[in-house]
Amino acid sequence: MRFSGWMACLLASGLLGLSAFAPAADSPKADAKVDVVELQVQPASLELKGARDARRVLVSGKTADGKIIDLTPDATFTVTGAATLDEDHFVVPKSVGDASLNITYNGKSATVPIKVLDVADPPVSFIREIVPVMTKSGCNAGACHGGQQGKAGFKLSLRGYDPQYDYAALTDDLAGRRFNRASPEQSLMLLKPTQGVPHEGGFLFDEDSRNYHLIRRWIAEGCQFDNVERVQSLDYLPKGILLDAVGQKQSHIVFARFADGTSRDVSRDVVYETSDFEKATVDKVGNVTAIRRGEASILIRYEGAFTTNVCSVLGKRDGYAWKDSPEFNFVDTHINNKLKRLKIQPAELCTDAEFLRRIMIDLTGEPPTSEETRAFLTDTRESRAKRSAKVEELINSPSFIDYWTMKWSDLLMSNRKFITEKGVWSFRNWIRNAIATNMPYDQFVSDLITANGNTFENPAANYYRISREPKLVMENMTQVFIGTRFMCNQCHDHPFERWTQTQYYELSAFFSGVGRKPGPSAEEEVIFSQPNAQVVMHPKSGKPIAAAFPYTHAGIDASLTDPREKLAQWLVSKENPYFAKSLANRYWSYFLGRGIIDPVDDIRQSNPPINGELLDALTKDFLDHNYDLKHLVRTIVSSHTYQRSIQTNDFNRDDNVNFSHASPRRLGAEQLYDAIMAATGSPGSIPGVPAGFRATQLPDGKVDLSFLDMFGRPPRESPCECERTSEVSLSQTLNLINGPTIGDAVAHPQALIARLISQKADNKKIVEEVYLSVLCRFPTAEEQKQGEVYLTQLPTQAEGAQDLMWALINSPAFLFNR
Amino acid sequence: MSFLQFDGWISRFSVVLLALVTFLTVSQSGVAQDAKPAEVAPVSFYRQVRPVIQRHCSGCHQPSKAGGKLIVTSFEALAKGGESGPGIVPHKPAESSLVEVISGEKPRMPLKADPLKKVQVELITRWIAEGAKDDTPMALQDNISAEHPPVYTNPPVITALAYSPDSKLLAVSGFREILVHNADGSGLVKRLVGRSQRIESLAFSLDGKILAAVGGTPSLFGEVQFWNTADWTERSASFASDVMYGGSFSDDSKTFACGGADNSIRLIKVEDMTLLRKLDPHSDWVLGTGFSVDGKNLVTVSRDMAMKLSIVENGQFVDNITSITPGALKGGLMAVRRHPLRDEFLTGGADGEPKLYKMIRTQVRMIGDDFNRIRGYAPLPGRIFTLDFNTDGSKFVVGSSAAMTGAVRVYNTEDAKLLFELPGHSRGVFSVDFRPDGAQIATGGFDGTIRLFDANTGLLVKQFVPVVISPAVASQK
Repeated sequence: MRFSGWMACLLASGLLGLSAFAPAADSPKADAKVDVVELQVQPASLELKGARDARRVLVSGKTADGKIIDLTPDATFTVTGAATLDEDHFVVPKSVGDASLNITYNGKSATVPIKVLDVADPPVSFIREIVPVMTKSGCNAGACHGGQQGKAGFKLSLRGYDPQYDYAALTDDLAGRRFNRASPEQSLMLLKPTQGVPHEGGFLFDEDSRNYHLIRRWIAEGCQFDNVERVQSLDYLPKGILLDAVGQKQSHIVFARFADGTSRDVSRDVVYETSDFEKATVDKVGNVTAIRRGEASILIRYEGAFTTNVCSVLGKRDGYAWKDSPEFNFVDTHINNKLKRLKIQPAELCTDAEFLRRIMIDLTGEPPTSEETRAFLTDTRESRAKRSAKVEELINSPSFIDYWTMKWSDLLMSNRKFITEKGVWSFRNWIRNAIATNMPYDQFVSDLITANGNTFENPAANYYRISREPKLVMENMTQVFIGTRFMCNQCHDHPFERWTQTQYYELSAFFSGVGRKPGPSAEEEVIFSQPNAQVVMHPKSGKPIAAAFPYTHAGIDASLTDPREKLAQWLVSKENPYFAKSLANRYWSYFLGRGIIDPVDDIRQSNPPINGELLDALTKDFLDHNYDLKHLVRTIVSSHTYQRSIQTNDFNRDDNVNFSHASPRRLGAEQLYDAIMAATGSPGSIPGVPAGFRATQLPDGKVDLSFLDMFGRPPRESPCECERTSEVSLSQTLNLINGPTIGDAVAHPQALIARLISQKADNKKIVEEVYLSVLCRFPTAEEQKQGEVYLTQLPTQAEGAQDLMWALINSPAFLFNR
Repeated sequence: MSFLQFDGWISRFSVVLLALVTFLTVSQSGVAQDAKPAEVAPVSFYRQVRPVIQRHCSGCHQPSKAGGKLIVTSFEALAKGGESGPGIVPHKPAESSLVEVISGEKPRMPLKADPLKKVQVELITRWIAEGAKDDTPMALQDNISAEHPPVYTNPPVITALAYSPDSKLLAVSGFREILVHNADGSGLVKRLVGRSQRIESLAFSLDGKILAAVGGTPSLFGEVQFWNTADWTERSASFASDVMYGGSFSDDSKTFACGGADNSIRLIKVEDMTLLRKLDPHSDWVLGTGFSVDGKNLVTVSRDMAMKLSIVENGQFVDNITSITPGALKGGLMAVRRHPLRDEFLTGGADGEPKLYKMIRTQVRMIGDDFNRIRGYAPLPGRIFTLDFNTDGSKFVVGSSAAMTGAVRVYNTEDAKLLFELPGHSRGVFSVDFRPDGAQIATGGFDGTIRLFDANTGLLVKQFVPVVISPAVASQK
């Protein structure tokens, strides 16, 4: 009342003239007016309910060549009638009645009708008005008073997730030190942010700001706490941002919607963040600026609600014209739709040799042998047909089972540290069986979640030996099976998602009835249902918490009584929006190098998919085929997208995220070890297992092979996909150049070179065989010639052949899957 | 005198004034920009330079965190400068280190922040060239006085209460003042207007001659005020850069102790207000103090969760009275009172449980022990902010706050029996006091209302707001 009253006073005295605000006259851009054929305004009309219901509109102009540009900051706004404009061009009511917002820009104009329904001026709301100010100003940021320990003795809840806590901190701490009802301007909560007294956090807003007036008024009104519902959802304009030129800008409108059906324009109160400031930046009031070609998501955060807008920057695309790329299945349709929109030209299909090596490493963990390569390359069938046949062959091969058993053993953390060596072998066999029989994914997960019994008789029960505590079981379950990180909301509400601290404990409580007792031998254990075996307490209330789902969906059988059966049903339901989707996304990343949502186990609103239609279609297809994992794999690898070359063109070179070309992926530790053995023809020497045993067949990471650890074998102590590393290090390079693993393998008496020498092969044959074996392709004529010359230069043929092989193993063509 | 101590009354007007000034400047700038100003007004330190420095420099260069040994929160300190020499040399910007550090392509200051704008640097340079005058109006520094006492539009939170030893007066904390009421609530006797915005603690000396007020203005200074009850004249001393807490007199009324936001304890000679000693056994704000019966020892409680024992004569730290086992303590301790007759100390804090401790350790400390604890009492909801014994120590009253609710209870000291729950406290209680004659108990807190209870029945006798509310002023704002 006071503030608007004061504004009204100035208005009445004529100081503000027509209440028209033009852009700053000294801005150089103001002169460079763009010619537009028409103005477009969103929303087309405004309704204002209440004295503090301030709303803005977005103004864009259509140019003669059909481009849409944002004119919101540059247009001139004038209001006549029952409303006026505030300092940020927001329309605010004066009295009940009609008003009209007139917008002009470079000779064009538009009008927005306004209805002021109500000018009631209720007391300032702590939850809806004060907490947002603190969040927007950064008071409750993690680095400031929102940190675990607060700052300088003053602690707020992180990003304002707990308004009651914040209210106590502001009004109750130190007997009300932070406000001064007797003289509101002297309140510490006003003097600190305005630097009226020293404040390490610096200057945040001045005495004339909206923020200041809101807080001042709330104090003058007696520092009341109003138990109103917080925001339910956020909505924004414009939906999706496409910026043609670097430097181009776009403003935002954000609405907060409340459970009672009301909404507020919170455009200047929300917090905006960009996911990639190298592509697009966003300022405090939501103006997005294109920095360079690419995509960024704009995260919009307001009082525990989140949403994201996607911004695409096209940049210079001179000479671009879409050239049709084959669509092998629906995957390619969705991928190409996006590429067309972003003016990206996909790569060509990879060669048969590239395909063979790529698909074999991806499906079985090992590269083709020379015989396999030769057979595939000389197969005269049409390329697509023989590729499909190869996929079928591999997907049903024993090494497919080995390789995917390893991947699932990683995710489920099969580790003798937790379940003893015998347990590791039996759990491995259970997983192998599931892969071998192509057990539907829902059943696989359901069997794990509901597992009971002796861990020898039902190895799935090892699931509850690996994680032994309800909270830990829940954290691992959510990360692996719904791809979300619930651990972030253990101590406070999730800072980037809707998940709350209470939900963390409620979901954990489903595992409070997991009983564990020793089995007949020391290496086994019995898992059984035992109500309240491990009661889950809520940290705030200190009381036991009942199991509840963080979100619900149809198809849950209410008659189920066992909490884990109930949970399993909820989890694997086709209605569960995360379960199938997270798996489809995870599997996609195994073949394309990154998830459609990436990281794959950090699905949240603030981490949107790079191609939502594709992920939805992939998920639907997976569900339509009843969780058939092999079908999912087949769908992905049969696409043109998967089979694209790593060769880029002028119009996809800078794309790393939209799958317009293949990206080289360093071989994983086990893949690399097995590939070296396959390439050299050496049987390998893994301690404790028979000769010829592949690294991918090992039961867990405790098998001592330092080479694997050096190349990032996961220790299986966390369910994070990030445990397996694919980075490149100096020690790796040195080992590859000079280490015993390759040295011994190349020179092994039963290896390829030794065999070729003993067969008295000529140099031509040796060069060809070495290329086929190491790089899985025939040498080019030039390579063949150089190789042969090289072999003659060394004292012995064997030395020359070993050198050549060593050099090829050290090439990216070998070390990477490409 | 710090130039930051403008007060509530003036700043209300100055905001409006400032707004008008800003507005006029803006509205005229369009016209004036191109034309050369005929005469340039001298730069005002108070209106132009001070806000810039306050905004960009005072975060790091303030009394509690004097980076580079420089303090910029007062004109005097700014002029004096820090490690880099004199901050300001009047008429000689080139020799003033202030100008040096903020100028250039990549100025050294402000650290890890955007450089000052060119116009700001020019402003400061010009101000020094013009002689670097401090034009802070005297009126702005202090316009509240005994002649112009504070005007209230809302009741202030009550943070401190104290009955006089003869049970005739009740001193109540106000904003910039102490309100001395008749103990029965029948009327205001005297308004003791001082400099501190907040009075955190009030205490009468046992001989009744002095009313001590401890407080200050948050983030600016701490203060101890001694008021002679005979003629209500004031003596005061300022300490530190933030508020002081928990004042107490020794039984012989010769020594005074208080804690502070600077984690220190101060011992003050009552006779001449000299600082006898500064003690630093605590690692967080010290919120309560109490002398032993013989006056030789001092017990203090702090937000660091500990109750500590020190020797008055030499300031030596003796012992942690509470357990020192990690995890044994929860939350800070916020109040302490000595038993009137014995060296036993009642304390309370964040866990809501009143606890009685003996001062002197009689057993060797062992890991995990809490030997000095005599007994605990049924916890109150929320945090304990205040407690007080009756004159013989047989009973005590304790007040707590859980932000949205408050509670006041009276317990028997010996058998821990809950005697009364004093009703009517819908919000947090920050101060309670037992009347020395044992007849009544006063409470106050968030809602700004004093409640007087019959100490023998627990029934409410009277309630009143200790200040006069002037709604007319509120509407004028």
